[in-house]
Amino acid sequence: MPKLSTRWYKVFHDLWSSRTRTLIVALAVAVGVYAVGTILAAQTLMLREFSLGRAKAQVASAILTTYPFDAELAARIAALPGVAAAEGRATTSVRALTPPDTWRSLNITVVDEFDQMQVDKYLPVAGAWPTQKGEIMLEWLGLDYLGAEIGDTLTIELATGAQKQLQVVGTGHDPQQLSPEIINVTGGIVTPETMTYLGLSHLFTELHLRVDAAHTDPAGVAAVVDAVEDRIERSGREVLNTYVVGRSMIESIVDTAVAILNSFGWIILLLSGFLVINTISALIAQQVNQIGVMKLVGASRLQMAAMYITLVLIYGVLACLIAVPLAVLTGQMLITNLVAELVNLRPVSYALPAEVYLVMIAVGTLIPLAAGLLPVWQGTRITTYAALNDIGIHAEAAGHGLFERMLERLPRRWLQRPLLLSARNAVRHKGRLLRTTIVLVLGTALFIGVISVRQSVNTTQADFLRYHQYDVRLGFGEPLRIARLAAIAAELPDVVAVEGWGLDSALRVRPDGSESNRYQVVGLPGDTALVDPVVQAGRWLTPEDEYAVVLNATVAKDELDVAVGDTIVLDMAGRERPWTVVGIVSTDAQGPKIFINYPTFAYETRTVGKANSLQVISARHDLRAQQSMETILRNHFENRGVEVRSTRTTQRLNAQNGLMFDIIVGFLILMAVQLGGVGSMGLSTTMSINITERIREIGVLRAIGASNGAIRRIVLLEGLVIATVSWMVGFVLSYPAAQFMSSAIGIALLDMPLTFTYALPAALLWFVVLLGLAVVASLGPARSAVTLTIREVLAYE
Amino acid sequence: MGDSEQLIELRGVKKAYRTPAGDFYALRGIDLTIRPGEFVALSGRSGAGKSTLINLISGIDRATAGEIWIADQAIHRMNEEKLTRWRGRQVGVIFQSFQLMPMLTCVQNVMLPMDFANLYKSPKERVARAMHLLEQVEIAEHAHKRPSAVSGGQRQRVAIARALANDPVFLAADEPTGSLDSKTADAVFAVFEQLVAAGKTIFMATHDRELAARAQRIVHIEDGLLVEDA
Repeated sequence: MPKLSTRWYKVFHDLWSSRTRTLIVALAVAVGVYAVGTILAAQTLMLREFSLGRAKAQVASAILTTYPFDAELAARIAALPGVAAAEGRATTSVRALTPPDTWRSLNITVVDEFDQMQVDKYLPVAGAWPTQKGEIMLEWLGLDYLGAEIGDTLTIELATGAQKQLQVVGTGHDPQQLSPEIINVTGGIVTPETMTYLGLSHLFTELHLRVDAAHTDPAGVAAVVDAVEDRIERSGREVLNTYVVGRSMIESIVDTAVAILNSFGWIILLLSGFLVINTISALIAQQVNQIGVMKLVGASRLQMAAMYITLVLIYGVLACLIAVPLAVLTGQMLITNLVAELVNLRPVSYALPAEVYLVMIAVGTLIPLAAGLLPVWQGTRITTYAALNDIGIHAEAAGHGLFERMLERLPRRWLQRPLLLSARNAVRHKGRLLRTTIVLVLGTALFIGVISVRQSVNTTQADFLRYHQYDVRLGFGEPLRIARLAAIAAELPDVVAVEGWGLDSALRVRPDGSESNRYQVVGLPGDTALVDPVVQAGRWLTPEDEYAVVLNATVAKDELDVAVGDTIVLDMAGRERPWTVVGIVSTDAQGPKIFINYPTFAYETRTVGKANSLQVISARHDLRAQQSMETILRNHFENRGVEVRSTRTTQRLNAQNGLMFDIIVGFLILMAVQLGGVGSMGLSTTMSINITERIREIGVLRAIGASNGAIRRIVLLEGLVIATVSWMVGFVLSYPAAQFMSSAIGIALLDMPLTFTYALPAALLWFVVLLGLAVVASLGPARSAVTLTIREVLAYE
Repeated sequence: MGDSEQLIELRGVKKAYRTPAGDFYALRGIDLTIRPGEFVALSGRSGAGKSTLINLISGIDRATAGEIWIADQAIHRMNEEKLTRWRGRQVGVIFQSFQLMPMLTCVQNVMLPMDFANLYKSPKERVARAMHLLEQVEIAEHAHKRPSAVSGGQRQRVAIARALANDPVFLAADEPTGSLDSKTADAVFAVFEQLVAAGKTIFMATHDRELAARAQRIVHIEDGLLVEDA
């Protein structure tokens, strides 16, 4: 004999005998647990490991550039009040030969004492530590980028054109460096002895400074930086640049990803809550007669509520068993495959804190409990008489509301009887229909919204590409005569046009006397055809402009007090001049830029007729053609005795920008899939429940002569009515939702809204998916309804 | 206050149902008393109010007006929850459609009221009592089968055993033989007669005049009023 008391036997029997229903309810709960769990796991790992990496690296508060100094000055500055650590560094840009014949950019940083680094530390990953003379430790992502292995000898080319060999003896992690695939450069550290071996100065030109815990606020950092600048100037050196370390691009990406995860997590949780309410309400509705029998033999409301709450909790436990491992695995996979390399994370551990598991278990058990309490309490409130007389056709549900009356009044030629019946059935359980519709409407709106954001990312990238109307840019170590550069380029048959630009940097001297970080200044012809920026405010440059500047959105975000029409003071080439801001533009997500007319630039920098950057338009514009032209140009210029310091192609730039969005797009797609999953489950469960509940009514219809085909049509049409109405409302809402998301994500990541593009094909695709789901979800129950004999159906419980 | 000589006493009991056309009175003022140990048959045509009266006496439904006293309890004053607990211990109800739990075996169906009323606490005791009751209604050999695996008459015997589970003060039966063939109906009726002989009080609604005639007393209902008490 069973040891369980009879009522608990019923509970477990309900679970086991209705395995499909058990699975549906458990899956409905599991969708929410999985969504929240994935989000929590990814977010926790990302934030923890990101913060851990930065904390270990002891990131600098500011970097000051000055004339060469030694470790002694750094030590004296380190002793100043408010300074936690100060170390000298010098960075040299070189090119490294990547097999077989590609040159890639490498920044070599000299570090005095590897073991004593207190600021902007390289964390050892593999190989020898510290390095010896003639050796280099590469940033760990640099190995792949340069196609090197530990133990390999790297050929590098210095600015002078001299080539040297460095042995790669190890790798380290610099959490501040983005993936080299995005920034197109990697780094490595060497000793002062190696710098001497390379024929370079072993002295430092950068002071990396970390403030103590009492000065971490912006005012505190500024005060300590002021004191350090004074100290450097007292040593007889001018401070050439002060860069206060702010939010990095990595932080923007991480914060945006976390914001996406957070907001969508709550929405998915809400939607899955509706799903659970629907399934539990339906479960109770199916058991009304059994509730009546239990009440008949003396079951109190509390006893029955306890039975159903236990049932709900078991569904929750099953959901957790399904969803928790999957969520943890997905979260870890997201970090490993999507986030780690792009934002340069090296997770020390993938272990999740107990709180994450507790939240998942709480979501898995408390959400169904909360969702189930009301239907259980209401379901057990029914009187014994009403419960025992439940015949499946609910008089109170077959109401005569406004919608039903409107349907009745429609001319019959518009609404055939089966469609009328389907429409009336769809609105019969208004609460359930409302919850299903909310799930589908929000699912539709957000799904289309998410895909539209993806589309907007593509359009924004296309805009970036449009901004660069040239194919290859060549950078030179010093300004050279434009006429000469143009003549050399013109010797190549595939070169269509060239334009020389001047690149320099400037800092803004603010009205209060403080200085900004250095911004790149681009001096280009006011009527250039080689850039086509999207103007956000004001206008682009004209050839007549003299002391006029156009700022890109990144500068405008840093200098919030500046508007179009204002005059700002720029310190460029050692001269402070007032400039009028005539426009703000979106550019290419490649950092802050200020644009000025070339003649004024050349005059101010004393480089009239010269340029240190040559933009080339070639005959073909695809990636392969651009890469080929890049190599041809470099070789050609070097053969003509012009040293080329850097090259880049616009297609590669576009690909790098794309990589930056990969994480965000990856998370957005995950959210779209989860929203799609919840929406699909919502429709499927509602349809299954609706039909199962009405199986007796279907028997009545068949008994009075409705054919199997007619029954199938009624059931199918009902699903299609719900799907179509939900999609239509969701479709209308999707436009503003998509616009809002595109704007928010663009501003968070690029300081400007994305170029909005509505994903109409996704909207249509989702409609087809919903219709398909409606058909699939309705067909199963419809088939059961028509395969049972009329006698069986009418006896159905 | 009820009369202690009477087990069941109804005074001026009315029951109205709301319909779109207005209130419909299924019972229009019933006065009835039943003594302990009586076997009373309630006869009448379909729609006369038999089931409504059974529902009110067994606490399944509530009267619109009037008083219902059973074993000195004013059940017309009880709320739904009190009624349920009272019914679980004091009344055994038997329906034409059996109303057994399909997922439980016959013996488990009989044990269910004991479980909810928390009577016969040890599992052994409950099983023993349920088996004893099944033997009493001659269905013990099917104790471990589900209701779907036994015949209609056997299901009704299980329903009777379940009605007796908590040793109620009376049994209320609504057309208990309505869905049985005459031979099986006769056998089930015989079980009722044995129970009455053993001292149980039974109030049974039936439209079968022949079976009603075998009861000790027949009350006849027409259009919601008792018109004959013999």
